[in-house]
Amino acid sequence: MHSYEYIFTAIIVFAILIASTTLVSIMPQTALNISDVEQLKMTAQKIMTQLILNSGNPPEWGSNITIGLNNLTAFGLAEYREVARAAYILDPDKVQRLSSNYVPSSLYIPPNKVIELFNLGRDYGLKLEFIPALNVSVNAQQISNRIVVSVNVVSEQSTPIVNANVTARAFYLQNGQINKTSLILNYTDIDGSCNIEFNNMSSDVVLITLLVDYHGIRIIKTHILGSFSKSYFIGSNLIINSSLNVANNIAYQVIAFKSGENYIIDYVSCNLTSSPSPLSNYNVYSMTYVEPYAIALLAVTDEGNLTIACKNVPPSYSSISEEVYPPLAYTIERPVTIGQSIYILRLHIWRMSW
Amino acid sequence: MDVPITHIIGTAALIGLVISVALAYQIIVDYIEANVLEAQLEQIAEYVSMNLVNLISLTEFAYGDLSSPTVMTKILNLPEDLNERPYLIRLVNESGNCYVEAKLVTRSDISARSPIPLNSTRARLTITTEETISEISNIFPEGTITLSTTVYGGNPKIVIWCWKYDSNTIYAGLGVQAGGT
Repeated sequence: MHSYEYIFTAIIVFAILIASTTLVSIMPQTALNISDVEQLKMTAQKIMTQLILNSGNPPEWGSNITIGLNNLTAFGLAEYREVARAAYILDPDKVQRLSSNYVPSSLYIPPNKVIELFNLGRDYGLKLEFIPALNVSVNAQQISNRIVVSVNVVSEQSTPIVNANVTARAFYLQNGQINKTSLILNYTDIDGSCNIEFNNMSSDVVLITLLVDYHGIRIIKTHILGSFSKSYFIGSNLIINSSLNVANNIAYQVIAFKSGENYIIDYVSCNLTSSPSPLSNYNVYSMTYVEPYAIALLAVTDEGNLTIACKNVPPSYSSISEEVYPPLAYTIERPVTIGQSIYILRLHIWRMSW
Repeated sequence: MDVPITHIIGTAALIGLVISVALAYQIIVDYIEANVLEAQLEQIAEYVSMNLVNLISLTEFAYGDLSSPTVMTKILNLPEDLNERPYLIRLVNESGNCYVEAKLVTRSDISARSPIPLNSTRARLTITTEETISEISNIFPEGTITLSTTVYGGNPKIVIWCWKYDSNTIYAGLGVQAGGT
């Protein structure tokens, strides 16, 4: 045997090592990837269960404005009921507190706090999306003393919803008083569109409330025309900028629901009591009771302006600000009820590292 | 150099090379196998933790405000072994944060954990770990389910249980059904 034959044999042995190592390392990779996705799937199911079946601790953390970030010891979005519990019903106040636009900053619950409360550590990221079961777009125009509202109802996949029942009423400020129009009913046509007209009203500020019902799939939508003072409606509280005061301590709760075969959109007046404010820069007025289907609160300020506070559902809530999805993520969806409206709650979960 | 000496050196070098290659291959394969086993253990830990959370949520949701004690159990469907290696499942509490830990019996360095979102409940929830199992006596009748904090994964009768003691207290943990080892 010549020396070059030894070298050649050594090269072959090395080649065998490299080839077999490569094969061995490639083979389990597919199984590992599947395993990673399976793990994420189970984590997502675990988190989703917590979100929609648990009310968190304290259970009334959504409506109680004295409960801030540091008082929250458990996270869950389910509505808390003492007696009759119902699955997949979320608390509108808890959902509202997931957006910094819809609540004063001290009441906002940031995503990193939620991840901490879920005991997930720093490995995970999550995003929640609240997708309305019916996508209702509203375009309102004021033409002299009437308002023309164009409503378009489509599914999440942009398919027009035909023959959906659209009930609407407008609330407006006139001569320092809050008035309402008559209730108007219409049905969407083949394009998923319909028009609604409110006549004989002259006001700069109008709150249009729509209740769209398609075979039990219901969405309540509010649309505001004109400028108004922004305030917040959380629990049984009206939270308003500290530079403003409510005239006569009276507010109007706007309610919208289906009762039997009838659709009801109306308001009820209620007395406000000025409370010590736990929030700096805000005046807090509390109500003795809140209607179960209250979706907005109207009040007139001392200056004669209308202040409107609506219960809002944020479109999304994410631990990352951009629309970036890590390659290994898992998505899970559940239909939920928020107030009277039906939404799809979509949870994206991902791991930062493996 | 004489030809036989060249042969001896060459043959010895080749034998050495083959042995080193075999060792290197074994080390690489062990490393890859450890990664695969770790991923499988993670999956098992995640499965146990998910079922535990679901059972706790279900118990609290269904029987939350009842004053009478209620017990719910679920049999876990786990693999007998991982590549013919036995493994253990354990509940761990580390400064208030609870985890499900799965680890190999033969190689304790290969293990995985999955967090239990313990905080997310209204009632006072206690996961029965080694530190807390003494708080409760066996809640199940003799010869039905035995409470445990560590179970052998190959046991086909592993259960998770959730005991709602009163409207404010829930205990949950692992156990072995009668007939299991």
